[in-house]
Amino acid sequence: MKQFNDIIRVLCVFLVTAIIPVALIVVVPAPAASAAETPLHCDIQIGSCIMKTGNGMTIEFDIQPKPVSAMTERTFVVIVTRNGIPLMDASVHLDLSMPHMFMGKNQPVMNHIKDGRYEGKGIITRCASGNKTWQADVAVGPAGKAVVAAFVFEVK
Amino acid sequence: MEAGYILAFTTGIIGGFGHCIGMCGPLVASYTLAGSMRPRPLISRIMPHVLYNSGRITMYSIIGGIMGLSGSFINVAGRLANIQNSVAVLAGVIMILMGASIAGSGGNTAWIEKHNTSLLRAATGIRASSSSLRYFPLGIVLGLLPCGLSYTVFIAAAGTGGFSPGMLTALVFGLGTLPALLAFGAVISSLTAALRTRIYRTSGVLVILMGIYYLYRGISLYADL
Repeated sequence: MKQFNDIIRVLCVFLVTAIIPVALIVVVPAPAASAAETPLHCDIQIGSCIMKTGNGMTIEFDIQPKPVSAMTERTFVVIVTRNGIPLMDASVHLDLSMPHMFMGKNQPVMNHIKDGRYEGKGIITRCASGNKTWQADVAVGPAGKAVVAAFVFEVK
Repeated sequence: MEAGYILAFTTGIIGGFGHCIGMCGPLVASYTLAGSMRPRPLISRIMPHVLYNSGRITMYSIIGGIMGLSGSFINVAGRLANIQNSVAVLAGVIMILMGASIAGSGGNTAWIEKHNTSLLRAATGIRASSSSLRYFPLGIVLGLLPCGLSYTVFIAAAGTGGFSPGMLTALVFGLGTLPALLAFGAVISSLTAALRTRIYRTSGVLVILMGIYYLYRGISLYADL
């Protein structure tokens, strides 16, 4: 009986020291903004990411300049059109997160520049785990009724 | 501004369980397993975690203050990058040494003497000390570990535009991470207290493996620069 208890305790130590930390890294999702559309995986290093939503809206997302590296200030660009017409008075919010790791609130402020083009400056931080996959949730419209386009990309 | 502090604290609370245990849990487990073999009362088992986390949060506060004073995350982070990457490697070295010590081969320092770098000297110095107070400087040094979650808070600290608000932002974030890491450390301490003599050598191998992973992670950060 004592040996059985010891085995259980060894398993508990192993669980706490090895399995739980790994599971937390892999399983716990980041609390990102709710995305109405399925995330679009795209290569941000080559060019912009474009998503057409169900209501005729087109949301284009880009990060400049290239290459898109972590720990450097970059300009985040969102271009919004509906049926080809630029949306100039839209409320645009950007939320940056890692799909599998909570990295805190990272939301560059987006301002309208011209012709449906919104820009904001921000920094994508580096995760010590080596994971370089990030997600940008672009919300267009008032809170609660916003159309959210999610883009998944890799940084250098 | 108060909203910023609340957000930093909340980030610490959420990140403590979802991020810190995952990233720093093996480190906490390592120094817990490498602690004294003698049976100790609960307060003595918890004290290393209190001291380690106090050191870690002190370092966060200092960095947050500097970020706030400079007003630029990029400038300060750029200057800190090499130090932080060295600390990431150092963490791996410390864990491997702790693991070797637990496994019973800690007395063989020939390799360290042959590669007598300042990094290894610092690691062996921390490992060799018998004072429980060593956990505070350990926390200070390892508070410099590169961490994406704390970077996000330091960006906010840089945005405060002053030493005090920057320091306070990082301080409340650090305090937010406390419950998770203290609880994690307490669980490890309680479990291992009853098992030390039986699993001691086995856990040494586990700590060495975790140290190798940390070392790999630290070296990878240099490759990313």
